[in-house]
Amino acid sequence: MEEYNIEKSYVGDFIGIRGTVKIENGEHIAIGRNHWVGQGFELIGGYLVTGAINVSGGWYGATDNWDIYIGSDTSTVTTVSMTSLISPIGTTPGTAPNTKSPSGAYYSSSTTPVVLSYVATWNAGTVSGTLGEVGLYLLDAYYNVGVRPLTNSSYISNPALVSRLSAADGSFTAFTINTAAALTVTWTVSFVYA
Amino acid sequence: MLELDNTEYTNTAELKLFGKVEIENGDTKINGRNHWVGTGLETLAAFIGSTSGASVNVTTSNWYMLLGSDTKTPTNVTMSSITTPISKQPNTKLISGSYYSGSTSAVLIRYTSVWLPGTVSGTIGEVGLYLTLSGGYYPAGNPGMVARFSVADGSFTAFTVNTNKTLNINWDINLVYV
Repeated sequence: MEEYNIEKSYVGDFIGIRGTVKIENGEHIAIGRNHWVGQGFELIGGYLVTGAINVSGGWYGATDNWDIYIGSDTSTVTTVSMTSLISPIGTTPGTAPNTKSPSGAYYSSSTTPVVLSYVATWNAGTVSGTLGEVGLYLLDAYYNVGVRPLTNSSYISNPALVSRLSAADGSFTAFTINTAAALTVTWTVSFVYA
Repeated sequence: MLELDNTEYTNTAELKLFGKVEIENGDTKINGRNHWVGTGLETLAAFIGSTSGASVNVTTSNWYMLLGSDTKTPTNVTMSSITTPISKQPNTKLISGSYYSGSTSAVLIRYTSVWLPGTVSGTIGEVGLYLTLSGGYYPAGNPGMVARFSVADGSFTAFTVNTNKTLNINWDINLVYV
């Protein structure tokens, strides 16, 4: 697992939450910083009050149900009110990856950087076209609706868009997917003192 | 009156979490920034990264502030409790604020603790915010210190509690885009 921009060297006024996305497709490699959207923002705010997501009596972390989707839009910048990719590749919310796995250690032993990594891979030929946007979806108590008390049991199982990497934000350069090679997206979320 | 501090809102590339502490005890009025400790960072990461949470509504049901008298020990990431505690339980405590941002503004959560006159005494040199931890690594029902506000960090000047007055602490956690 790769680590990016780790600055856990002192106790500071802030905890910074950053996301870095690496896209690999054959010989093509793109790396960029994500943009958080409102649903990701609210997910963390809700945690400070409830401590976990309540789903029909059970308590869960945000990675209980997650996904990464890709899209072709290259002109729409990310906004905080965005709740889905603009032009997903495949049927909305997008073509699911063939394999996916979360990893990382969220216990730092006070010295090790805290980094989470979400890896999604589409087999060669599974997706095609222009890749201009990528979205990270995590479990949310509500999906794409207003006020979201995390203790509410009105759970919809679809994960919600929390962060987006897009060519329109200048985060990477759009490219045409090489269908002869696998496409792998590694989404690294770092928790740092800043 | 809760006032959102969203002055650092510029874009959405990074989220930042910071805490501001207000202490009032008679004529003593203090404002400053907290320092986060390792547990604060780890429990947040644990929530995001884990598939299972705790078995109870952890934060709302089990949190507290702890007062202490230490004035010499700076906060460090390995610190798991305040250095010299003088009291654990306030007479009242409350969580307020909103964690729905309306997609455009900052999020503010306020933790309030009130000690009635005569409940605590002595020198106040440090305060700790303890939240119940969640996520795969941490068991439920085990509050841990996530942030500390201390004289040794230069965050405020130590004071002697006026036991004729209420001691009130508001701990505001702000989440902003940066």
